[in-house]
Amino acid sequence: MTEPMPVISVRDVHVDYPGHPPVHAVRGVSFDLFEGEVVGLVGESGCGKSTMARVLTGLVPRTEGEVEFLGESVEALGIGRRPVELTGIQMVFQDPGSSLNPRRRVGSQIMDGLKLAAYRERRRLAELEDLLDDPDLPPLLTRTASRSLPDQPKTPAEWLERVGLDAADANRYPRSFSGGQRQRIATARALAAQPQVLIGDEPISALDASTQARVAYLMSTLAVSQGTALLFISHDLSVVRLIADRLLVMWSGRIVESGPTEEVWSNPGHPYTKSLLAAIPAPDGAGRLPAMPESQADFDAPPVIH
Amino acid sequence: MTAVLRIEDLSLGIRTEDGLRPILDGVSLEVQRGQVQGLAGESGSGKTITGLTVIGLEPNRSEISGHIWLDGQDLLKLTGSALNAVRGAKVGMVFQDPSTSLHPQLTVGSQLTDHVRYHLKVSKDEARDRAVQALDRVGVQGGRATLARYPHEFSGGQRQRIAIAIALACDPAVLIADEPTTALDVTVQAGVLTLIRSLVDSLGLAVLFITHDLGVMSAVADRVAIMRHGQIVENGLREQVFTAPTHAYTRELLASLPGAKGGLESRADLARMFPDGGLELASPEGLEL
Ligand SMILES: Nc1ncnc2c1ncn2[C@@H]1O[C@H](COP(=O)(O)OP(=O)(O)OP(=O)(O)O)[C@@H](O)[C@H]1O
Ligand SMILES: Nc1ncnc2c1ncn2[C@@H]1O[C@H](COP(=O)(O)OP(=O)(O)OP(=O)(O)O)[C@@H](O)[C@H]1O
Ligand SMILES: [Mg+2]
Ligand SMILES: [Mg+2]
Repeated sequence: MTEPMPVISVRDVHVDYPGHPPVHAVRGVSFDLFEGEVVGLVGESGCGKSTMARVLTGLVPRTEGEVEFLGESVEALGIGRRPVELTGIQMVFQDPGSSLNPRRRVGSQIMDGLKLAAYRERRRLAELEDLLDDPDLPPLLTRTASRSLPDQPKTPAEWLERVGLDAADANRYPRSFSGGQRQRIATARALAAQPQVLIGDEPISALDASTQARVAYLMSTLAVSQGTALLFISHDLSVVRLIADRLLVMWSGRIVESGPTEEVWSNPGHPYTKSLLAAIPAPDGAGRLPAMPESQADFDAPPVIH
Repeated sequence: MTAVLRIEDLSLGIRTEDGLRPILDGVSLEVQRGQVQGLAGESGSGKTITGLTVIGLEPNRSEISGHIWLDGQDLLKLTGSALNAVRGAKVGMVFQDPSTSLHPQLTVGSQLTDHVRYHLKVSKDEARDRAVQALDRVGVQGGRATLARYPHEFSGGQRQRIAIAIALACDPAVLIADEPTTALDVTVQAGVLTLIRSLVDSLGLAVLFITHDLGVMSAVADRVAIMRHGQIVENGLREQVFTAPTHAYTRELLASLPGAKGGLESRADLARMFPDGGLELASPEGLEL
């Protein structure tokens, strides 16, 4: 048996944002993502979670370290089109406003995702044809593979229904939807591209309580069923706990704790993780303000790995 | 009891090619001095539109009826400069999406000081002091150096704190907070909730607090209203709504809640709750509306 290959492998990544002084946003982060697993990335506001997400998608350059997607280095290309290989990594952003183009009908934006999947599928078939001459077996996973499954929605209208909206909404513009509705559309657009990796940067934070768990569950079941790795960034720890196999806890640009979700949850080892778990407000109607961390002095403690 | 803000039988429809699309249907809500009135409910039920209508930022082509009383004035009757004087100075608003409240091409400092000077007519220097104070209040450190930075240089959470600072910079009587802590981690959220609560308790600020997070609601709200399809379906004291909800939708909300008593606890609960794998995202069936 060979070791399973990570879909994404991150090694000692640092990110600085230019400025006076520069912001050292990510300070040596390493982790792997494997096929079909759900990994929750949680942590302080401003600790570098979104920056990590942008590094993985090649939207932000790293100052040091290595990021590999299916064995090949991910390079930041700056603004503009991402190479088609990297569209196997899809993202849903924190602000529903920034995932969608305000000037285009939502149906045509979901169509973009469907086209990407179809395009990668054609590329993969072409690659396979080339490989017919090759004596070696074709690789199981290739960067251009799309993951079309028989029961996947095939049209923007079907995708809209899948995320709880109306087929007829395809003709409307993003601004005529509520915040939560826009976030569902952004999710549909990303999933329509049939990615190997889906990164949700606070994908459910604009949804109402009754659909949050449901959408998180939908994203995770889709991921598990089609082998997509899901990196789920959220500050909603009670939802992350429900869907994530593993947790990465970040503070100040570093991963301070990692391990299987239940172990981290029931036995947090790092002082930051402890205060994070203690600050979750309980929906019990008691009117108790959640606990604030008393001091950050001991958050510099070494990382805890379960 | 004196309500600082009283929304009375507010209905709103948006004119479309296919006729009037109803959005709000007879919404009545009061916010007292020194009180947090929570507003939760379904996505798309009209919570944000309710808040926007109070500050006169309802969508184009809206048809509105009802009253919004503030300081004995019906805000729905105000236009132009009279409305501008109220908006921002007497009622501050923080939005769900911080990129809505903050202009990407202006420094944080100029956004804060412009806002303060427009409403309070103070000197540049005084406005800058107030700006630093306002940022300090919400836990954005760095003093005057921070004023020169642009919104994109801050994380989502920090941007939301800056938006709160702007909303509170002119010491308004009413704050409408639309998902103000949605982008914050729970430790920072704890700080912001404590801050809002202390402003309510010490200054008598009246807050209309819109959130879908019932944990947050439970922590800050004195009263809780639940909205669905443009209507308030339940409105009561916090404890009563959480422990003895009267409407089926409220019970449904609490049941689907991770961390609530009797709510979701594990992935097995998720599978039980959503046997279809979460594929069906429409509202659960069997609810009496
Ligand atoms: N374009 C930028 N230029 C300069 N600094 C930036 C930029 N983007 C982010 N930063 C800074 O980098 C740090 C990490 O930001 P990032 O957005 O990655 O945090 P985050 O963990 O996603 O926070 P949140 O939970 O609030 O979304 C923050 O201190 C932020 O101010
Ligand atoms: N500018 C607009 N033009 C037309 N319709 C709109 C506009 N803004 C919102 N709507 C519609 O009005 C309804 C209420 O939207 P609103 O944003 O108030 O919902 P919400 O309760 O705040 O939802 P969420 O929890 O998702 O933020 C939705 O059906 C939405 O599609
Ligand atoms: Mg972020
Ligand atoms: Mg809203």
